[in-house]
Parts: sequence; C-alpha cells; structure tokens
Amino acid sequence: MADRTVCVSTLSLKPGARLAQAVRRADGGLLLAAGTEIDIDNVQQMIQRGIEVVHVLQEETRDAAQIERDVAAAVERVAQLFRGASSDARNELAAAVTDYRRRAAS
Amino acid sequence: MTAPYTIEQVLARAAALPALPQIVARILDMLGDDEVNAEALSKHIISDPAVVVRLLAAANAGAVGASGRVDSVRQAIMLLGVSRVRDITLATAIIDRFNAKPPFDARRLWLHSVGVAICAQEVARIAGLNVDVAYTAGLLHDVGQLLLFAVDPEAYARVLTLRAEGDIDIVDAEREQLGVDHARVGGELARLWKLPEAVADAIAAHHVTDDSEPENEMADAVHVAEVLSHALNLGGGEGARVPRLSDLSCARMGIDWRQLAVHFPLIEARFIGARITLGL
Repeated sequence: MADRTVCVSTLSLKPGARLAQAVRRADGGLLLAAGTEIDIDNVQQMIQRGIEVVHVLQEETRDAAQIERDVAAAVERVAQLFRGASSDARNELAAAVTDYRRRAAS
Repeated sequence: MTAPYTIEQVLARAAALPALPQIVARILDMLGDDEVNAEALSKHIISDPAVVVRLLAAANAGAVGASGRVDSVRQAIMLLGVSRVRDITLATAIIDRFNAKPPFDARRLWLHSVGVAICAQEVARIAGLNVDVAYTAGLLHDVGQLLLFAVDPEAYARVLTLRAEGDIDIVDAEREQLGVDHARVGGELARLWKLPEAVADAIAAHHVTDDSEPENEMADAVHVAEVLSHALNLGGGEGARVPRLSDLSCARMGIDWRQLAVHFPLIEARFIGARITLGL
C-alpha cells in the first residue's frame, strides 16, 4: 500500500524517518531535500533552527477494513465532542473537523 | 464570605496570593523584541529555581536532549530556542505557583492552555494580529479559574461537578454557582498584575456570548482558538465537549473553517511538540 504523508513535531522525530517534503531554512534556502532519510544530527539541526514541524512519509500497514473502522471511530469522536446545542459557526467547524478527521484516518 | 461573589470580593482575596513573579514581567517585556538573546534571557531565568528545573527537564526531553546531557540554562536556551523558553517560563511561573490541588486538575488546565495558545497563534497569524500577544493571551486565558479555585475551593468543586453532571460550559456553571466567571476575573487579575493591556482585555472577553460585547479582535481570536482547541481535542480529556462558538466573533474575524482546516495538522504537531517540551 502507498505511504501516507503526516505532519509531525521535530521533537518527536525518530532517526530513519523519510521526509515527504523538503525542509527549508528561514531564508528559503534548502536545508534537507524531500526523500532524505533523517539522522539524529538532522533532527538536532532542525530543532536548533526553530523548525517545529516537518512532513514525513508513514508506511500504511492497515487493511481496508481497519481503515474503515478507524474512519468511523474518528467521525464518531467528533460527533461526541460536538454534542449539544450549536450555532452556524459551530456547525461549520464541526463539518470542517469531521472532514479533516475522515481524511487523516483514511 | 460565601458564594455568590462579586469581582471585587474575588480580587480582594487575590492579594493573599503569591505576587506575580518578576520573571514574568521581564519575559513579557521581551515580547516582540527580536534582539532578545540567550544571554539576557538566562540572566533573568537563573533567579527562579522552579523555572530552571522545568527548563532543564525540557532540554533533556525527547529528541532535543538525545545527543548528551544539558545542565546549564544557557545551553538549554540555545537548544530550545527563545520562544520555547518563553513558553516554559510563563507557564511554570504562573500556573505552577497556584499549586491547585484536586479536584482541580492543574495539569489538564495547563495542557488545555498550551493548546489554546497554539491555536491562538495560528488564528492570529491568519488574521494579521500580533502572534506573540495571541500566544500569551491563549496561555493565560483561564488564569481566572485558578484564582476562583484558590478563593473558594469548595464552591469551585461544586462548579466542576455541575459542569460534569450538567454537561454545560464552565462559564455557565461558574455564573450559576459563584455569580462571577473566570474570564472576567482573569482579566481583572491580569490588570492587577500589570500584564499588557491587550492580553488582559483578551482574557476578560474570551467567552464572547453576544453582540453587547465591545469589539476586541484579540478576544475574538482567543475565543475562536479555545473552541478550536476543544474541537481538535487538544488535551481535553474524556468528558470534553466543544463549547459555544460565537457567530459574531467568527464573522468579525472572517473565519472560513474549510480554509483554516489546512492548518489543523500543523496545530496538532505543534501541540505534540509542546507536550514533549513541557513534560505534559
């Protein structure tokens, strides 16, 4: 199955993770190219440069049935959080979060 | 003195609390100052042992400390960066000092505050507001809860029970049980502590409920950020529920949730980073 791209904190990065997107310095110059397998020095370098998050590739190990269960659970959790009286803005937020969770879980 | 209280009565009791540590005022003075360096920051921080302990713990946590033990404040600041150090200092100096005991869950409040601070920063960035003020206001937005609990722990325990059993917003439970709410009280406490006016105003008005509230962009940002943090369940716990969201605040800020959703992964990743840094 194809890898998924996930956004992670540099503080939680493990050496061996592969970058899904290039990491750039504050001035826009390239620090690490997409596809780089990062080591501990890369992690330290990014933290010291104040880079808080990066996009890495995550191997998809779930089967279709598991993905379906994960999506259903994520959507159910959002509905639980949004229980009770609502307003237009709150309904719009609920829809945006539901959509986001559905995409993130699938 | 028993509930219901007036804001004046609550603030009169605030005088008995430990004074706002000097380090907070100094850190707040540095907000928005690009010239702040590790040297200046460490000079202030070493005067506060509680902050030093937290800072060193953060510097030795997770990936940051992976390449060797960090045992000096200066080294910790170099590793963590000025903005992370500011966050740790503010949170430690204020939330830890109240020393709130169960049933008040200070850890949960801190976690929630960090989540709101991160959301406030993103919301402010999109709206073109000062991101540092937004972060600080987010981090301190519920300081009034700590004060209300300190003033009358038994009455506040009833507030917490009422909220849980009635599944209602905390401000509604506070108003019913105490006659005051943590937003108003927190705003006044911030003024008493001489925190920046914009921070105090945002704290006071972050539970916007209707159009009788004067327009305050930063308060709108913190209000929206708090609701968003609940929606993303940033440290909300089992019984979490998304509170009321003001249509007016969203309209005033021109919030488009579909567009803002692009930033949700970033917000969640930053929250995880903050948890690691703060040991939460």
